[in-house]
Amino acid sequence: MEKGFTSLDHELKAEHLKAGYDKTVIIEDMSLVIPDHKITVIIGSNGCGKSTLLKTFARLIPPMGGKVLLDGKEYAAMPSRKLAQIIGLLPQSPLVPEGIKVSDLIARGRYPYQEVFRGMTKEDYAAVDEAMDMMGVAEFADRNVDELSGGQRQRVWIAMALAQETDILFLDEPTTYLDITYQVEILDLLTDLNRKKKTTIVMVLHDINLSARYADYLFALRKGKLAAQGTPDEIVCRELIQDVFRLDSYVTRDPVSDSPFIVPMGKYHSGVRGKKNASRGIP
Amino acid sequence: MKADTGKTGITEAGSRNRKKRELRILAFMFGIWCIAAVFLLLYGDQVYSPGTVLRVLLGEEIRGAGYAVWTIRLPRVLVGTLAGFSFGIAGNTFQKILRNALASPDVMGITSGASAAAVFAMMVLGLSGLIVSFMALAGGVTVAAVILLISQQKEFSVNKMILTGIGIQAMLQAVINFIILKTSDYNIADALRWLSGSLNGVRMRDLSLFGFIVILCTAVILAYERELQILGLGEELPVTLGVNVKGSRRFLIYSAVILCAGTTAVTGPLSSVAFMSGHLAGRILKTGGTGTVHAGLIGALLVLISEAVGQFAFSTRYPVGVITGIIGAPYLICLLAGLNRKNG
Repeated sequence: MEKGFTSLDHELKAEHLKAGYDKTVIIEDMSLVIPDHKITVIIGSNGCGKSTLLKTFARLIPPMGGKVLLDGKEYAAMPSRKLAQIIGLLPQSPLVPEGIKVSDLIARGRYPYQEVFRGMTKEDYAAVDEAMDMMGVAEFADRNVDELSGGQRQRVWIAMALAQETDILFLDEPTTYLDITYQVEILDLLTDLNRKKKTTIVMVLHDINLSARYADYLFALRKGKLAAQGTPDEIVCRELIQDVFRLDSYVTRDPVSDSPFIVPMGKYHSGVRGKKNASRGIP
Repeated sequence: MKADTGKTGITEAGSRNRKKRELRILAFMFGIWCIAAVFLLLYGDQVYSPGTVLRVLLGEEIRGAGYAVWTIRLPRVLVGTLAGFSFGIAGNTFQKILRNALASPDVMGITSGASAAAVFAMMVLGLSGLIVSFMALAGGVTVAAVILLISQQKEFSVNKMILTGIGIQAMLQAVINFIILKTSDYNIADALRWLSGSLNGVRMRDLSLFGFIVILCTAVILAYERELQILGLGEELPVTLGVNVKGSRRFLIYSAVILCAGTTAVTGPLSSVAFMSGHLAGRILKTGGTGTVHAGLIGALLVLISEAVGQFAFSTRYPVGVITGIIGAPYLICLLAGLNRKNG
């Protein structure tokens, strides 16, 4: 038996969503449904609105028009702490309070469950212990967060989001600034989380190939509009990459995962492929 | 089952250990406070024995000693403690909300606002007594409101808030200097109190209202302790963790402002106490906690020790605000140098 909580079913969707900052509209009239209990990745070039979409779903910015509906209700109509028990976010660069210990930082994820002047309960401690176990940071429990490496620190932040025990978790570029080793490690841990807890995971990633490998479902954005959605196998193709990233590419299969694999074409070096493939008899 | 890793309970054990350590530090600080307080009760123009002071405190009437203890020394110790405690907590709260060691009410012009209002009330309007204190309080709150209003234009920005505050601080300091220069026929000693801060002339009757304000605001800040912790995580996490960001930020800031302005109304600005206490508390605790009470006690210690230094260390007596200012300036420089090293 898996200990702790398992994510509940929810329906999270955007209806004719218009979103942006101040008076700048970035997303116009977007409707989509977040697949429940799946790993979804939002891809697109810089400024396409993927961060804006994520932030609107994570309720950091209110919609300018249209609606974001959780189980049929708008966020504004739900108590803030109740909502914090359902939807969590790992921002791109959260701040580490000076001198804080790993377990204390993770324990802050328990805020939505706590009452004024009442300390941590048994459940709170258990949730933090479990989150540390799952992210493999228990051995650092009493260390300073500022002493950890980038990859370890990111695991601590995910553990904090995990201690929040939300059914849906948004992550804003969780692998940026990390070495490739830690990128894979973080994505593996998020997959663990999705498989063990059924947590719905929605994230923005920059690496298309890792996105295609780890995502169950993709939203591809271009200039504030939804260019395509579907499983990586359904939508990732040369035309999509051309359309979304304005990049000429060659799409093959990932030799490890057999998911679609993009090899970009640039101005130089493009002759090699033709020659090599010809010599190997590949058309 | 939970026993599968042997790691369960690690969070509880760790946080209990850290809590114990925090309490030990608190007890140690309280010990130093007692020593400083006893020292300030015994020493003065006349040195009294502990027995004499104790008998006076228990209500016995002793010529000379009775007056010195009840009218001068005890109010000085108690008001000094309250003032330091209050500045310490106010500074710490600001620094924790705004996540910046420079973001303290004395750096950001809130104490100057209170001082300027008090100087204006006394020297231009010719007022005195409780109304001056009230105007000082209003001055501090007004400055805070203006800073909040300006920094909340478009998107709330901590840097904008600090810079606005520093600008307002410089402006108000000029106003205070201007008023004092223009009305130099007035009692300068009294006016200087509003420039640097002093415990001279505080009386027991100042205590009740002042104590009430300090306790009330401290209680509000402690009730928002967990929100204060979460607000330290950046702009985004507090929202998604379900904190009422605007509301709790406002409650915390205004409680700190009232502490700060209310204290300025009684003792004057006591420069740098607010700014140093919170930072020192963080350095000593090293737990990433808020350290509210610790910062308060450090503030109280800073004030009492500076008072002792100002009274007895030199041939001339200096008001406590001058001493805290002298300690504060190099502290600020070291801090800035440290910040630069970190960023560079």
